[in-house]
Amino acid sequence: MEALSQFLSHYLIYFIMGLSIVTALGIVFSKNAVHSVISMLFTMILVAGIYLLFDSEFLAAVQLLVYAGGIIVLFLFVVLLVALHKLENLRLYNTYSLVSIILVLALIVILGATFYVMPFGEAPKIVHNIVAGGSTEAVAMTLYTKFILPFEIASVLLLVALIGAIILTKARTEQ
Amino acid sequence: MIPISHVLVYTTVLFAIGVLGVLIRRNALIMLMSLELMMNAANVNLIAFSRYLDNVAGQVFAIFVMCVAASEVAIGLAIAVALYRNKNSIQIDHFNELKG
Repeated sequence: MEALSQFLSHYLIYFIMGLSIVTALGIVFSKNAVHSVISMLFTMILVAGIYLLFDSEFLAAVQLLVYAGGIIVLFLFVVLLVALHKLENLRLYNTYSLVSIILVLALIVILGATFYVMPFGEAPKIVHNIVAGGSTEAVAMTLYTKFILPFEIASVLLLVALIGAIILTKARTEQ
Repeated sequence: MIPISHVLVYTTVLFAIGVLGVLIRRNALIMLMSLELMMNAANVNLIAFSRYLDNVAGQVFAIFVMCVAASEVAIGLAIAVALYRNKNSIQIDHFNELKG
């Protein structure tokens, strides 16, 4: 039973990785922006699955709530707001797209080959800090003790973003 | 557990797709989505290393990355809406006033 679940999680993660790369390509190469948003939704859900397979269930839940729940809806609102049907006859891609594609493929080959041959060693079979009763408790203990100052700064950053977004999108009132 | 080099290759591909989206698309919204993709690739790396090195600091840092990504999207979309109000377009090549 243990071996079966090991086997399944081993191949499941490769399956999710492949699928998420396909949906990520869907974001970039969709003609319709709404299709891009749907592809992004699937990518975020699959990435949450990867988090789950790496024993970080809290991050998976946050990923689903923040990305699949919040950011996707925001993108969908804006895509529908800007009336993309008026932009249909415009060109989708930049003039030098081919050069960009070649450069990006070179990036993948160079970085991928470097990471692939690097001797990182095996994953530990038993982890102490993370999976003892789930990693959520350990994350909370670290976040609220060691990282309390960055946590507060992050809350200020979110407040600034909130106020900035309201001011930027506010319709100009007549003087 | 799969070897961490496979995870690194996967996140490299994911990041490169994000770079590609920013480079070749002309739609500002798709560019913002590609930025999110790049941040997610970085997050997967952080979480994979947090699992492999048995240290939760990686997960905590991933929370901060998500925080920054969320505020960045909010501001970016607000700018996109403001630009659309002014020029009736969100194609990046229509905003070329600063080039002179």
